[in-house]
Amino acid sequence: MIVGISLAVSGTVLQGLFRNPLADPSLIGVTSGGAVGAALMIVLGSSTLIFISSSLHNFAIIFSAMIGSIGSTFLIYRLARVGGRIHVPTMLLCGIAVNAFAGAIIGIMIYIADLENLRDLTFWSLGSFARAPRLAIFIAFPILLIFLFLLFRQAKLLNVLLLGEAEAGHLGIDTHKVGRRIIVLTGATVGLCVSLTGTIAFVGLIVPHLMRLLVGPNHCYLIPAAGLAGGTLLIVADLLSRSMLTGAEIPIGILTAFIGAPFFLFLLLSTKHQKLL
Amino acid sequence: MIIIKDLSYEIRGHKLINSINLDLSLGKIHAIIGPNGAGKSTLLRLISGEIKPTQGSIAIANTRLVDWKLNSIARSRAILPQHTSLNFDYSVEEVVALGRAPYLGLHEETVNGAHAIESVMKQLELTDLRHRNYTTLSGGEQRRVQLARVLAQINRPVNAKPLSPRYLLLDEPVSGLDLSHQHSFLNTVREIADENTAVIISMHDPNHAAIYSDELILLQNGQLMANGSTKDTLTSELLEKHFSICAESIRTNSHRTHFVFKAKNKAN
Repeated sequence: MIVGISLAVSGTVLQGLFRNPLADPSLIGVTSGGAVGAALMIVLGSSTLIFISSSLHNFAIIFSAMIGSIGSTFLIYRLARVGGRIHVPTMLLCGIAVNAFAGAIIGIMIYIADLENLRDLTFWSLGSFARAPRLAIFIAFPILLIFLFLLFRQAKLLNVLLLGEAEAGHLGIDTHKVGRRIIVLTGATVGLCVSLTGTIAFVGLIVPHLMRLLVGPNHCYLIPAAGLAGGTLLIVADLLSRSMLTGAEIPIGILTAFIGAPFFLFLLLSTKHQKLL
Repeated sequence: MIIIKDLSYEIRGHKLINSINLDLSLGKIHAIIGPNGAGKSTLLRLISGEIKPTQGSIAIANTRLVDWKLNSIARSRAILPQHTSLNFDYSVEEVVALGRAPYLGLHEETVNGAHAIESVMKQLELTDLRHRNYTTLSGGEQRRVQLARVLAQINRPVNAKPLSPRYLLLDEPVSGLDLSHQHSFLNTVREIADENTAVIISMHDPNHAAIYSDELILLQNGQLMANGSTKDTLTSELLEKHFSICAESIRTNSHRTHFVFKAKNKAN
């Protein structure tokens, strides 16, 4: 549940920062950045035997996923910003490039991984709650709560940022500082989620969008609403994934992508007229 | 008071602003006029701190612009950019309320903020639209909402004494407004200027400058071509020279100068 909340909140905040409802952590490469970080650590970490204990290895995976996500968010933000405005086609295309590149790196990892790592990697990359180690969850939970709290604190600033970067600057907001803070926070949050459950796509897209229709663009309400809805969505999805096949559990990432991808297309088509691109 | 010294701005070898010196005093409306590409917007963006000058300096209230804290300058200086893009479903009232961002967390803000939002919406005749979705408004209405947001930003509390200095930068504020709103807005700006505010406003229509401004700044190719009181400076000769147009001046009953234009005859 906390992963659902985190993903939805990160999605909301990213959409605010990019001033566009098409920004989703999994679409623009934030998630895959984290996945690369985690995959690198899963395979290289265990094969080079730097890590004596497995729990230390888990922390290393979490940490490197966070770094990966933050890095890819910075990259996208830099590339998509043209003269203080976010250029949306560039953002989406950069996302494709980052995703492809990340796919390649993960491919290499799969290629050089031994059998046990390979199994870990495959299941993890499909997105599943089943694999997350207990200990890591106990550590990650409070950290995610702190991140969520900090993200919520940005709500009023995000409201102003929606006006545009120059305008926010005129209103006394140090847009570079706020942008950096938001990127680090969302990157770390998403990275942490990825390292726990693999890539669960589209939650950060559907949930904020639906909630924005319900409660409006004011982030003071939008962020909590998205958090609640995101948590609920993933619980439902998790239940479904456990109960649809008896005895087996469908990786939850597959399920969200099944719902999310058509939704994204629908969003693209229905907003074509609104000059989002 | 804003003092601009030897200000230049250069991008890729193009001098958009070429060593300009200006004193912009409180209580006056300063109109920037000039043909397209003269550097009007660039000058405003330099004063707003959005872009950094390549040479020279700008000082507001005896403090260099770079030394001002973003948040404190935002409480006395507001800027309306030429273009704004907002495609989130805020209501009109919410957009105006965003203008109060520099005061977030201040103790008196609950009262002052509500007062500011209420009074500027009344001034710009937006009260009826307050719950409308901003994205569904017409271009002119959106413009008025943005104006209201900017005015809310520097709105003083009720009975504020003494009147603290304020600075209002407007980049072609009336373009896209219908006639009655153009003039009621400029009248509002006049009232704001009279309350110890320096207003710097770029305009397309020299007649607006003639009626509403106290001081004239004429730019061409990034250079200051004329600067002085509008009454003495803005003449048909000046307009003919810099706008390549035929201009004829008329005295109106209210002792204001107006201009009638026609295209320059090439054969002349």
